[in-house]
Amino acid sequence: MEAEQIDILNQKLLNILDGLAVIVPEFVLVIGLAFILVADLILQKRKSEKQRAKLLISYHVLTLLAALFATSIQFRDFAEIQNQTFNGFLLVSGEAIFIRSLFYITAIIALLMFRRTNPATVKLLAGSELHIFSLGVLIGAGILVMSSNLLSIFLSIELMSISAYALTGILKNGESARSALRYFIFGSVATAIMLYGMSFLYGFSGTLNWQNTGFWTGIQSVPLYSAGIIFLMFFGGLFFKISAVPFHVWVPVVYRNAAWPSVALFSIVPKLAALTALWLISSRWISIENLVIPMLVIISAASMLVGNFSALREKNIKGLLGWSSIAQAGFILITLVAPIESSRFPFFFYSTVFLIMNLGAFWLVYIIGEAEQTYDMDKWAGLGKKYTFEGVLLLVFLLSLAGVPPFAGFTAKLLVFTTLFEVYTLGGNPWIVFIIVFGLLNTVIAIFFYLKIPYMLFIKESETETNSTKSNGIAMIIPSILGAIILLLFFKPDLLSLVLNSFNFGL
Amino acid sequence: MSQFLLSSIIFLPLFLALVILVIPAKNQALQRILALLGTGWIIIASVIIWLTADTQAGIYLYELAPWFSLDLNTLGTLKFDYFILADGLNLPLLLLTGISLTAGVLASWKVREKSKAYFALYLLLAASIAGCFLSMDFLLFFLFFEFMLLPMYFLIGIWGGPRRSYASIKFFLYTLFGSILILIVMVAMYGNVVDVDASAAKIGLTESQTNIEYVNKGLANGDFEKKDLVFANHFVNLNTSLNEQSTQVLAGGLLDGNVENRFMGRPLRYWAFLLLLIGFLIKLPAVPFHTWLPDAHVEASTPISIVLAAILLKIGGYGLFRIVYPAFPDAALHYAWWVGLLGVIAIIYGAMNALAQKDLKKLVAYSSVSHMGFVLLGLASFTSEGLNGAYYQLFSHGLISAMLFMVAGVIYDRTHDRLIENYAGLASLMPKFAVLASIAFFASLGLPGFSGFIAEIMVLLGAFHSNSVNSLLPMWMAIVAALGLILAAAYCLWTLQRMFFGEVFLRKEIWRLEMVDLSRREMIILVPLALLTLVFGIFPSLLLSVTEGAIEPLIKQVFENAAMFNAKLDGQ
Repeated sequence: MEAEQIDILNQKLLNILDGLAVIVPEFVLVIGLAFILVADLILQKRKSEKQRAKLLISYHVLTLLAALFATSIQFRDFAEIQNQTFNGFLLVSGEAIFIRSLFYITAIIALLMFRRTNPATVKLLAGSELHIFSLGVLIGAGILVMSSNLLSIFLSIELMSISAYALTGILKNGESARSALRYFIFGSVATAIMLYGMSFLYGFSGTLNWQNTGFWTGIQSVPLYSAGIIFLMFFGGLFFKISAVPFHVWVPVVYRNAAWPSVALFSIVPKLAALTALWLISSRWISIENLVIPMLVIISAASMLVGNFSALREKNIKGLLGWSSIAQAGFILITLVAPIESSRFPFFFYSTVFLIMNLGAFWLVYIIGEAEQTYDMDKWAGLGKKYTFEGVLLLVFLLSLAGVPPFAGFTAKLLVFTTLFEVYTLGGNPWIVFIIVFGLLNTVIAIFFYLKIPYMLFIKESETETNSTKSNGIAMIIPSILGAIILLLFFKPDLLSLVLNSFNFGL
Repeated sequence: MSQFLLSSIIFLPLFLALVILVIPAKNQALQRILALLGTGWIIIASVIIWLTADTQAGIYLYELAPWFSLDLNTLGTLKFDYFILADGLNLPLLLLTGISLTAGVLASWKVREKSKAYFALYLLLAASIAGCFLSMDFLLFFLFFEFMLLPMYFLIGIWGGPRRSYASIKFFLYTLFGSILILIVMVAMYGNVVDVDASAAKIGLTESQTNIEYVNKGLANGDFEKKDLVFANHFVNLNTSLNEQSTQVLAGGLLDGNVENRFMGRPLRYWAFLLLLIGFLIKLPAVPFHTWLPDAHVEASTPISIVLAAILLKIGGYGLFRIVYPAFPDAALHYAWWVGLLGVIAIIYGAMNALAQKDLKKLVAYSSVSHMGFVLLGLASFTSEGLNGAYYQLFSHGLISAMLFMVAGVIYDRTHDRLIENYAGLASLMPKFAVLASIAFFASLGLPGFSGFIAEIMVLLGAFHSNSVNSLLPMWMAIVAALGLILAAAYCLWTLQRMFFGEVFLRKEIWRLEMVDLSRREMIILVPLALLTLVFGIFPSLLLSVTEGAIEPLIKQVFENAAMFNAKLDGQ
């Protein structure tokens, strides 16, 4: 008897050992995190603040590069990795590896976004907190996109959230502390709701692993509306990270008051991580489809509507991008309505493009905003003269976000809606037609506020005479590359499909 | 050489726009010359095509290259091509594009403020308009169609009048809304037009099996699935003739006229038609979607007004000819009465408004609305005269409105004031100008001998015939539309009389110094336009011989479908 138990235990341990290869990138991040912690202690006495900031940034970037390298090895050796591992806690898919490597690239860009001209920023970068919590977000996001168990979903969401709360308050001024508290309270409530939903799901199905068919059949005994509420509660935690309506309330405040490059990180990465997790779950929810599709349609429609209409009144450019990200989340979310084989490409195309255009827009807004010391839209009037190249590039990203050709944002929307319409012709679900028309009409509202920034820069005359053009030199390299990718992906979107199909395994 | 002739029409202006961005901002003369080169090339190239083309053949020149394709897994593969083509339907409008854009460059000869950005944007606009007319792939068309808004937004917004920011955003939002409606239909259409050759290659069919019937049959029998097919949305394959020949339309889909997929009680095809129709009517613009136009015109500078009226609006009409009517003839037939009504309303409403305007530019803008109503009426009549007349009106109005906006611009350049009541007796101050302005107004009111007359008379004939040929339009529509001609005569002659004849009167005495006669540059713009309206008014066959090859098959096809549908309706 005892020997048998030992055998089982042994097998479980072996399973974990086998699976270790899966989380190598996370290991790398943890090691980097620990290294930065120690380095911070050692460096504190010896080096000046500037040098410390430089060193910590380079450690941080090295860690991320190592993690990126680890994912690239995973691409190569993928066939040898088991599909489910850690005793069913983690699920490995090519998509998860792909999206994780995107996360690391995002993190590198977000880190390089910091401009070390401002002493406060240097001070921020010289401390270890920012680096540690940024890595924390990434570890959480990495695990979330691999979760096949409700517990690992909960764990990783919490890890991301706690890091994000800390990152929000890291500026240590009144505004950012208040936003962090607000974020924390909303987040805690969302997590509590999610846990409540999860406990129902466990109660009805007897399993925490959403890959088990029992997980989905068990819930069918519940009346339709109750099941809807249970799933809404469960997904609520994910929607909170996605910042979909009605779990979006934290967005504008946090966007306005946190350190901007950190916002780039902890808004984009957890959002895409949660979306990817939901996308993975969508592979199994066919049995409750008539429940999930209306839910997704309503939530994404509400996200578009609220995001776009609130953005119309927003005066702060940071807040504007916050509302825009809510609306964009709605667009990505509706991709999940399609069956997983059809939604794979549109979903990852939109996600990749969303990430690129958001990073570009964040970067340029930061450059102009920091130089002018204001994110108030009205004060940007006439700045296009001073920042011509920056302004034009920003226009590229904003138009791409709005979904105007010839930018990849248009291709992304086109793909999503074409796929949805094909799904409609196969199934005839009127909800889908509604969301196609609704979503497309929303882009008209969106263009109004996306054009507001270029309008301020180029069309509105400033009251004060602006001085001559100032070159931002090196800081423009990365956004230029991102802009080139946005154009390239419009003219050759199949490049991305080549990348995605090259590891078309997974589920 | 002729291999890349079509591409050069799009890419030369694009390339020159980049050159302008690179050369120093101080070199303003060079910027103007480059812009002139880019737009002039459109004229030269389209004349070359016109002269060398075999007008009997349907297609004169084309270039087809794969752009990209996307594998949607179970939903099949979408193929998008770089497919541009010149035929009788777009060549005249391409020529008009060149003429009006060149006139625009000459009219903006004195732009000094931010001239680098101005001419770069202008060439960008030129490239996208030309691309829009040439594109045969729906996505490519849409790309140019929507991209056009952007340079226009800035050209109105930066170099416009006092309320330019309002006008430019209104223009952008209205037309974007229209293009979204088009996009919805485009999305819905994409999985319905099969690229038979590519699909056959993918499935491995023999040559005899490479046709749409076999594909549709195989799909029905389950020999292959939708995911094995390749879809490409080329306008040439869009024709949904119901006899299932020469089309590449998937059976049972949106474009299959034999199947009625209903959505909210109405066939899906009708919905698609209505969405497309509204999308293009906003661009045209037709009442009640026209309100962006007067604002945009009033705030835009003279050259931009010329481009806007002469060619941008024509894309709306062209879209109806190229996409809407070929793809959904049954729905077009079903809604012919309503389209005709919209046309008549536009004719009368536009003309009435024009009568009431005090601002010369607004008057011309409303007269555009009125003239575009004829396009709708002609289309709705479903007769040979009507369709030819509608197309003729697109071309003719391009020339005439360019002249009229130039006339308004000449006055505005001198005094920065466009109120009609502020001027009288200009003829004695500026005799040359008075002659050319008179020609412009006479052409606009549809005097015989000018191109506008041919167009409008053909449309009216079509509308009258419609009653007896296919009884789509009631007789009163043609009669009321003919009243529009009288109103046009009223506002044109009245304006002419008030501004140019009688005793000299200027609101401010100092204007007298400014009111010198036309400069050589202004003559170069106005005289050729005036000559062209005369030439096309006296020799209509010049244009009709070219358009015939494209419009006749369209009419035939629409007729055939109409006949089949009538039979079908009678059978029910």
